[in-house]
Amino acid sequence: MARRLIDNERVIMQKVERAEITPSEAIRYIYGHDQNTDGINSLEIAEAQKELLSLIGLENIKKLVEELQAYINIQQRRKMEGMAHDGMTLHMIFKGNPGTGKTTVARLLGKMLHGMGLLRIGHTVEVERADLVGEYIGHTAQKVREQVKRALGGILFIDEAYSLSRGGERDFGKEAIDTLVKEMEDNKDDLVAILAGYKDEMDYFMRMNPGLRSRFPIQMEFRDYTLDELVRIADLMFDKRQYSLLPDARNKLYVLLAGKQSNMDQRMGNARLVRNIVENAIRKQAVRLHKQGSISKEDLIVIRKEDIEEVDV
Amino acid sequence: MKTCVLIGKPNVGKTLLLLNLAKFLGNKTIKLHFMDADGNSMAKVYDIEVAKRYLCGRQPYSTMGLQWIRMNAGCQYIELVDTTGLIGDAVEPTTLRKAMAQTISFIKNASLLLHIIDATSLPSQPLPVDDIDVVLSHIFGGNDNYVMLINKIDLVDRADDILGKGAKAFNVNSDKIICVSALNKAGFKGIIDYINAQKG
Ligand SMILES: Nc1ncnc2c1ncn2[C@@H]1O[C@H](COP(=O)(O)OP(=O)(O)OP(=O)(O)O)[C@@H](O)[C@H]1O
Ligand SMILES: Nc1nc2c(ncn2[C@@H]2O[C@H](COP(=O)(O)OP(=O)(O)O)[C@@H](O)[C@H]2O)c(=O)[nH]1
Ligand SMILES: [Mg+2]
Ligand SMILES: [Mg+2]
Repeated sequence: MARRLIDNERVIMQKVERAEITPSEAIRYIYGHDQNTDGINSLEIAEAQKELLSLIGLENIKKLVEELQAYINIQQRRKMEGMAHDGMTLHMIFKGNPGTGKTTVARLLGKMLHGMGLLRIGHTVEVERADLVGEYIGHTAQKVREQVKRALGGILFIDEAYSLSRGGERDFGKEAIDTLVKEMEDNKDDLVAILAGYKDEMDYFMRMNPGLRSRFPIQMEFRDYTLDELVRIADLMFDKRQYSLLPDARNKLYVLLAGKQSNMDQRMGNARLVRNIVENAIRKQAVRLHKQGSISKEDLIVIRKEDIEEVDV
Repeated sequence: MKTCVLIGKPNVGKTLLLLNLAKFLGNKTIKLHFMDADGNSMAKVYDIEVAKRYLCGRQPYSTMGLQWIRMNAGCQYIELVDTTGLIGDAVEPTTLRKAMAQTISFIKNASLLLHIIDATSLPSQPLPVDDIDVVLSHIFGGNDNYVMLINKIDLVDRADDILGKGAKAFNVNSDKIICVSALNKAGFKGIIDYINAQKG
């Protein structure tokens, strides 16, 4: 608990200095009654919660996270009162298309679980098949252990987890899964593993590996964003970077996303496509301004229709 | 050595209490240690009366940082620490906020917390929940190592039930409250007895 407190305390003190929180709040966060027990950091929890709520859409996920939080809270309280309590297995399955917010939510969960005193560090390590599967006997186990070690105290996020079992008999994917399960057992209190990927593939993968089901009791399904949500995500991304979309630029974005949604594989795109369009637009705007004579402050902010264009995912 | 930390709003009398307690314990001169919010420290020997003139102010925020004196409290040495006055809201300038942050973070080193309240501004209405005295008494008031000192009782009507008023306003047990005057040293014996009675 000591280190956790010290880390957080520094952050809280900086916030007091920058007038982001009041002395009263700081005292409550550092010395408040939750704090007396397990290194719970209400400030960090509140921040993660705020960030989660600020995400566009994802209503079912927000609700699930709230339920998870309530569950953890009550188990912790029961433990404190010396009552029977769950060991709490927090490994999860995230199902959904790319760019639907899985990684974003995983990172926020890391922060939240750290704030709740359940993870020592709360960082997220993102890996995929190539990071886990080796080329010769023994290599795979070694690679898995290495990644687990990096993720200790935080979240191990395995993208496209089913690709671990895609090879045939001679594939080392199975060894990866077995080692992972063993490592999860050995580091029960210091690691949360999240298996992520397309819904159908994940469902199939879990059916093929029934042993995993009980080890990953929490399932979250990330739905595709609606067109409206995607445009609001774009607005948010521009806003965060201190840019602003002109109405006709927004219209163009809308039409462009609508086109993509109708004629492209639904499984592509989503927020990741939006992010690429946003980043591309920012580069386009720079090039456009660079050619221009004098540049006003307004010019620096505004994203015009011509800055918005199609990009690859 | 016990670290006894004086905390409270600006101008409640923390610094005067520090100096007059030292005097009450038989000192004429003191070695006063300072540490500013950046961690720079120094120490200086003062005549207590001179120190009072320098360090106690009518205006708030005369103290920006930590200042402490080691002294013999009868049966043991203690370290009495004076701190930056705290208020509930963020204030200007940054240096002041930084000094408050230093004090807030220093609280964790306290073996004893002496929370000072100004008797002349005891509230008759319930205070807002983010009032600093409300927060401090709420969070620490139940601890064994907390005591509330209601200061400046020389300025209030004797007939007033200061103790009861304080207990009610901050919802602390009245045996955790001592009424004192940093100016005329009323109640000082109670403070010293309390410090010596605390274990740890
Ligand atoms: N609901 C949302 N509201 C606002 N922004 C979002 C939302 N969902 C995702 N984003 C943003 O869209 C991008 C893609 O999100 P996602 O979590 O799916 O990451 P990803 O596709 O795995 O990308 P990466 O891991 O490379 O950042 C991120 O920049 C994220 O901040
Ligand atoms: N009458 C009276 N005045 C006091 C008492 N304690 C402090 N003061 C005055 O209140 C003012 C602020 O005191 P100071 O010690 O600087 O307060 P601090 O800001 O809490 O350190 C000074 O003018 C002191 O003389 C007290 O018990 N009685
Ligand atoms: Mg991702
Ligand atoms: Mg002072």
